[in-house]
Amino acid sequence: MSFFSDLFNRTGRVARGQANQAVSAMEDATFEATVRQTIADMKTELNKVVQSSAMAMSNYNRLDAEYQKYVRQSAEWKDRAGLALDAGNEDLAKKALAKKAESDKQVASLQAAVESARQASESLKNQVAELKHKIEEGERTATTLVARKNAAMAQRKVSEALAGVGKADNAFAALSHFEETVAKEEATAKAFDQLASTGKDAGLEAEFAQLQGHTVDAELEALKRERLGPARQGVTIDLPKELPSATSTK
Amino acid sequence: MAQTTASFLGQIHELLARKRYSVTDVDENVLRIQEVESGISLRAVLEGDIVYFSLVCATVPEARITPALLRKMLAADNGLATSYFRLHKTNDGQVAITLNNFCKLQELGPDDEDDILSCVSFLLADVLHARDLIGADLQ
Repeated sequence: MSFFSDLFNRTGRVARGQANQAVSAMEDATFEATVRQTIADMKTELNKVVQSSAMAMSNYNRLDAEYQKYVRQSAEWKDRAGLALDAGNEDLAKKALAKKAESDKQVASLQAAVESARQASESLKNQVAELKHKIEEGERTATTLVARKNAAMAQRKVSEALAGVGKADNAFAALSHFEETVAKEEATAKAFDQLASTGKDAGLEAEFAQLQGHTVDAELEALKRERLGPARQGVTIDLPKELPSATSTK
Repeated sequence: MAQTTASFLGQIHELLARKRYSVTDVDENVLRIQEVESGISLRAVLEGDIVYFSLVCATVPEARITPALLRKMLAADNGLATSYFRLHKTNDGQVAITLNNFCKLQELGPDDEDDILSCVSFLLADVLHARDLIGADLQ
């Protein structure tokens, strides 16, 4: 690809111009400038070709106009010769045909030059189109090339930076540590939750204890009554000797 | 490019700090970016209009880099679509397994800001997946 050969030729020229510097450093510093300059050079060349093409087209147009003029004149003299013959004036017809012959001679002499100018003009037009295409391609390639070079440089710097990487930058370890921290926080939160629940249970227990307390008191009172018994309480209960017989109350 | 590396880097620093990352200038064109909650950190290197992000997953002895591990790291269907693995040798003879991605800046407008934040987010999301993918092989 001519773009690349242009580019690397230019790089070589710049390198020779800065031979006292380290080549790699020089390449880094001038790479983008070199690529851009190559494109600029191609555009300058394009302008020159466009100018040449414009001149060639102008030349062709001028010659072609001249050629077309003689072609028209030849046709006109032929028509006139015909008119003269129709009018029965053979001498006039001969003079007209002589003029036509002069025009034809000019046509013949110009024909080669016109064709040559047309070819030159077409060739330059094609050159302009080709150069424009090359420049477009070159600009795209240059952009990609500069981006690739920058990405490569960035990767190199990352490699340099990572050469001395410490454990602090280990993401898997950081994730594990983070998960441990989260697990601890969750455990702490659970503990707080349990403590809070314990507080609530204590109240509940106290209520039950109070209820239980009532039961004990009641049981104590019942036991006291049982221990005292009816006789010990000084109460005489008259129990019947016999059970009364069943009677109808109808 | 109209803007200088320093001004670009300053803007990237400010953007990430605004998004609550802890950002440190390591070098004239290197930033260390830390996600404050998890502590995960990554590096951003600016070179011309390219910002290259790299996150160290783990640093392991070279012997741990087995063909089976490499297959997992390189497999097209390993689930990592927005970052890619790279291996870097460290000064102590170990190998740093990194996740990387990059973006090309224009004039640091909203599109560029979105690209930068996306790159960082992708790495932080991908490292979780990367640990599931290869974490067990490294223990």
